[in-house]
Amino acid sequence: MLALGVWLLTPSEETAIRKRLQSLAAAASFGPNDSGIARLAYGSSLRDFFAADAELTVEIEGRGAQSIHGRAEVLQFAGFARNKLNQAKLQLLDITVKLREDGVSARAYMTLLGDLSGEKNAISQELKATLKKTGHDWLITRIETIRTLQ
Amino acid sequence: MTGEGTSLDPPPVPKPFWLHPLVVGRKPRWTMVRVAIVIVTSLVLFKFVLLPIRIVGISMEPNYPNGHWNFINKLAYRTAKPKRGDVVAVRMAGEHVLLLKRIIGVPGDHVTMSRQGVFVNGQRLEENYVRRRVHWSWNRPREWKLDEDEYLLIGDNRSMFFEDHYKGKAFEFQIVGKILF
Repeated sequence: MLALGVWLLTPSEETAIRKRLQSLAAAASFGPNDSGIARLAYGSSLRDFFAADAELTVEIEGRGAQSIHGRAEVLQFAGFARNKLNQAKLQLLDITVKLREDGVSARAYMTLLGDLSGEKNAISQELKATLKKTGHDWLITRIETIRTLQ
Repeated sequence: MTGEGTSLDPPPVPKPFWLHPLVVGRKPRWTMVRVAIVIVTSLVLFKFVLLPIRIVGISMEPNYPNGHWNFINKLAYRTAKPKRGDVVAVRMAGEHVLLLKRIIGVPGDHVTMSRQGVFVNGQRLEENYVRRRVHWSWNRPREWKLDEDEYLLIGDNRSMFFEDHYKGKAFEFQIVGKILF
């Protein structure tokens, strides 16, 4: 019974990754009335989600692909976006996790739904993330956009 | 010998409060069964047959305006293939967020878009559903050759900037269903 209880209460790696990604979306969201401290702490609150060699590749319709290498640059980009926008409500939906055989690396496919200030169009974008397990935490090593329509 | 108020008479049945039968019916057990049937039927209907959607964005305006509600008929393509002119929903990573677009090219088509309009296999496509049209300022015509199982999708609102207008090919398996109305 104890073993069953422990098994039921211990989340699988897939569940842990899903929760991790949802936490990232929550941490990356911000409101118009956030305090100055919250603004300053924005970058550091995202720091724990990314590996030092994290890479972000974004392909924008008609504008080609752009890549950012390294956690520092990814956080700098996030901070830049934070200053440009008044508010952002981000959600990661339909997360599918594929754990690799080694058990310490995984891929996740998901849809980003973003409600940004001043935009009539909400953002919806398919994403692919690559993660690796470091200690007890899953860290993102790569995020890239996926084209739904080719 | 009979008398009023003897102990053998059945106790008077209290009249139910008028709200009680209105809320749970005269037979509460059957009311519960009916409620359960309605809930299960609704869940099945709206999960597997008619998917409710709220339109977000302007790419299908003015035919499908931002903020309006509609349904996706998930059974529409069980027995028939998607057709040119159909407005369909395309899955992204799942079915929580869908793209709503119109089919302008079907498998085997060669589609060209230029300042003059949309041409399918050399024939100009009559697009009565396009109400807002501007001449997209591109340098050269765009072409798509559609393989088996590939469909070309685009929005009805051609007054958007070409670069902002999300369009392109989708495979048949990506199409969730057809818009209901």
